Amino acid sequence: MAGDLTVGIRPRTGEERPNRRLAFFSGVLALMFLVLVGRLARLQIAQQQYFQRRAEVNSVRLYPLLAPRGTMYDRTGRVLVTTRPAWHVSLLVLKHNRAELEPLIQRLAPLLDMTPEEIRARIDQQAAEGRLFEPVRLRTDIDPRLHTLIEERKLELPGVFVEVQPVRDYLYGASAAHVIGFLGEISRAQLELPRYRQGGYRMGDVIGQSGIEGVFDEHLRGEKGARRVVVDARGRLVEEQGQEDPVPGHDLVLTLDAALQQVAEAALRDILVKLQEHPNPKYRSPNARAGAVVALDVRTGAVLAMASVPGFDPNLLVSDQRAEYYRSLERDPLRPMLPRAWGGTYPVGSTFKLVMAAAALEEGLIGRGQTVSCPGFYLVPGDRKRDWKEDGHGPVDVQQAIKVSCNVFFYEMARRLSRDPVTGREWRRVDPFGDWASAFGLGIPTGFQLPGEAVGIMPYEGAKARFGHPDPRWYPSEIANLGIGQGFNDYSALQMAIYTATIANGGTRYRPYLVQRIVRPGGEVVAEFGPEVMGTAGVRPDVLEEVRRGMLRAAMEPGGREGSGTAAHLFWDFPVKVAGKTGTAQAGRLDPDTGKEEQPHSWFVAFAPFENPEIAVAVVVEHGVAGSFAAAPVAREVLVQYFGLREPVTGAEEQPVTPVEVPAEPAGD
Amino acid sequence: MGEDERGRAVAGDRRARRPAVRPWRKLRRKPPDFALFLTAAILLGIGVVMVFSSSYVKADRLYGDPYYYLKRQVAWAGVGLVAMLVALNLDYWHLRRWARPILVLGIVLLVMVLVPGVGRAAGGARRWLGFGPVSFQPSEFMKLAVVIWLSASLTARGARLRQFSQGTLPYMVLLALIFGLVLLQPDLGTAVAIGGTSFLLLFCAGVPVVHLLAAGGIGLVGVAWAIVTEEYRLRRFLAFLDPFADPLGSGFHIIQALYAIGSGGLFGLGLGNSRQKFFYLPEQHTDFIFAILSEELGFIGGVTVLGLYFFLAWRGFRIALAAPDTFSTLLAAGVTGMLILQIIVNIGVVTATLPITGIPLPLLSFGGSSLVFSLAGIGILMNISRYQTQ
Repeated sequence: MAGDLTVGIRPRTGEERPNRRLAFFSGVLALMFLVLVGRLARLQIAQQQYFQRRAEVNSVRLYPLLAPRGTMYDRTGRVLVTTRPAWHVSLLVLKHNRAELEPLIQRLAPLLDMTPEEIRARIDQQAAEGRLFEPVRLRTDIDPRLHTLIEERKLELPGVFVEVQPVRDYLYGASAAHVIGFLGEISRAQLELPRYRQGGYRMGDVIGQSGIEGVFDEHLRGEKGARRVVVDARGRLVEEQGQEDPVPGHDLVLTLDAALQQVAEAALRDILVKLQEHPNPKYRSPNARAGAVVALDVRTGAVLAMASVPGFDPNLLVSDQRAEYYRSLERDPLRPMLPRAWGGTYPVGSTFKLVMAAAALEEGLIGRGQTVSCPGFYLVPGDRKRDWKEDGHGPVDVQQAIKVSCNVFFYEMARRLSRDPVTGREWRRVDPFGDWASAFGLGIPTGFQLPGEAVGIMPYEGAKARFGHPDPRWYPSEIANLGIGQGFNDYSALQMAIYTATIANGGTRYRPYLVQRIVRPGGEVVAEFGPEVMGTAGVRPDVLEEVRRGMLRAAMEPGGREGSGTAAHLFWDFPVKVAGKTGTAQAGRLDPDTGKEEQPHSWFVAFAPFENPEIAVAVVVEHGVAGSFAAAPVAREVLVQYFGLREPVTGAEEQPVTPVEVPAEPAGD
Repeated sequence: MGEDERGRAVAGDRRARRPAVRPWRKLRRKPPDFALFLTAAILLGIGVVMVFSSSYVKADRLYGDPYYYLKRQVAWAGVGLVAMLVALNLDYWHLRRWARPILVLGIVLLVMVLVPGVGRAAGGARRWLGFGPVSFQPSEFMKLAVVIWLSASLTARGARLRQFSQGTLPYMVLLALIFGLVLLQPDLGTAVAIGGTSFLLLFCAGVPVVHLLAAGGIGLVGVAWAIVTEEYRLRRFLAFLDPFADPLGSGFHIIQALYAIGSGGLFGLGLGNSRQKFFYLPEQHTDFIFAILSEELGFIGGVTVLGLYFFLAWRGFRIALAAPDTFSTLLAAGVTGMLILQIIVNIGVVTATLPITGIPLPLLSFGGSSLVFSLAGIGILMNISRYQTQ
């Protein structure tokens, strides 16, 4: 059709008509199409599984859901520590928004009341741990106002979100903080330990770092869950794909009595304030800033109260201020993190005299009712020692010696105990002192379950050399001092409580324990703990009875020829029969400010009721001036609370805090 | 334009007072290529569906309206269909006369884009002219303008094309100018499409292959220079060689596209089920729409679309080969070549077969200008198909 016309229009380009070249070109394009089809086949059929998996990982994230840690109850069922849900601000640092990160940080910092450096540091830290795929926690436990603020600006803050995660709630604040412990992120060093390595712990886990939180972490922590979510490339949630619920941790029922614990701490703090501000310079002690109380059930070894002052608030250690707070605690010269109740040892002074009395009676160094005359001084080779009461107590037997804390009597007992049975020479042997101390649990490990226990220093032959004295020999004067608990008799409040309990219960030394039951959230009991005997004192019952009677008179017998009981001014009218012993121990240090010798430490140990003992208490007040002055009133408060006497206190509330006697001498009261 | 004498044959026509440049009046007008229209319509339909499927997440996030892009794409498709009808029914030989003004208009528009305050910038590039809510991409217009002008000009030059100074050289100079303008935006993809199509037309028009090879060599050096001097292009190019070397940086785009395509498998995840569109894959509804299509519709879907494009190309070249004169042949070949080049480059990029260049997928990608001028080009093709000689 119209062939001539078409031919006529075309010939301009001569023989090089477009057709041939165009056909060639379309062939080339067809080939390219084939290449593309081949490419698609390779990607979608041959490599499909690979890309599918990669794409999956690309978009599905597992957000860890922290398990609520187990609750801790006190012996009466009061909740001590629990877990509550709280809002946290987290940032998911995304792969491709590294460039956007800096402006985001700048926007975020004022909102969160943080500095950009802090935010960067958090991110860097988590990056260093290789956990940048997990959200970086920026603020913990935020208030609703901040929550709203963040939600409002969500679009400007890609990757930032508010999440609900449990936070630890220490309902009693600083109370029993050393016992309960605190939480913290697991450290690299901890992850190396077999316990954590084999226990399935991971970087970033928050674990118990001390106290019961630390020791029972495996029980308390539960199992983490996870939220499977699909997120877009900017980390924003697109779809929930269900979640694996976390398994809550086990609950612990402690042996502590929260009320008793609080009373002990309050009493301790009160007495410290009184000491610091006492109007009489003789009794004033500006350095009285620390102390410890331990109360045990003498029948089982269960710990009823365990106070260490000063303390810390574990709530702050799980808050946003944890870093600064931790630093401030570490810088504090008083070392508030130190669990003084079992991790601090002090010279025990006259409270040691109970060991001496039991040893002397058991070894027949003195009989019941036999007396030693106290003229107010005592001569040892090379030294003349004085009693704290200058005109002496007159003739005193064991009970009376304990009652009035007669030094001369116990110097004499020291002489007898140090006698070498083979040669008959006196002031020779030191080991019996240590042996008898350890028979009551002093200077040896108590078997306590919390870490940080200090075993103290007990006397033995090699002790002077061991503790670096220039002259390792023992001199009579030093051995005499051992009899009244001075020198090489440094023990912890926990050891002193066990010692008292051992005397009270007839010589059985129990392992102190804090957890009586581990319970699954449903109520099923996982483990139960009860009394566990660590050893016996190896003393005849009548010997301990004699010691106990001396303690009873010390606490409850106000008058008498030989003098008043050292703590009788506090307990003479106590409705429950209390047995106790005071102790005043040289601190052995000079006050760097005044150059004068520092006020001695104040001790008091007691048990009650006398006939059927239930509770043993040991109190130490650093630089507490005198046992009867500082420590005994604290013990009294504890006993008042324990026996439910808070309401009808028999007039003793207004008791002037003035000791009946105060040592003029460094040696015991 | 020297065919005046042929027009006199139709002096009695209603429009005889016009310059008689209408030899086609002698030809019996046949119905236009319906298969071509059908193919284009199917692709347009797939495009609208895919634009919606790939964009609703982003649209909802950005504008609070999941249909934001869909509405616009449908509106532009309407405009495009009108443009197609216009192109189908106007005398396309008029384009020969208007070729030069059209080219000049295109160049002016390209220059205007670069004028601050007139041109609109987005994503680091100045590619748009704004008219109220509507924005227009002159480089899309330029693609068609260059094809029209080259077809006209090459036809006019005829045998002179065999001389380097009369043929290849002047074209190279002008193309280099256009190239430069487009690169200033910067828009390497359009530059490549225009350059490739120009070569196709020069080649088909009979320019000696040696000249083309020489000019092509120079052009390649130019492209290489453009890549090396602009850091982001270099990074993109290197990312193409090994996307996984920098998976979070320059390789991110390609990797995300590969994840999308690869996870599609044989049958795909199903329409609307793409995961990569959730902000993983940028440009998911524009240049990278084929990746989402492959993810949702799988190998079957991808190959179907490729097949439709291939059919489109075949019809286009068939029309060119059967066209009544050189101008028609070159115009049809140019329009088809421009579309096919863009398709090959786009899918090549998305499948990591070619280095990343931003180029829309004709008829499928979101974008009004591309759609309108692609449909107008298809209208021209159909127009030419009415005068087939074979």
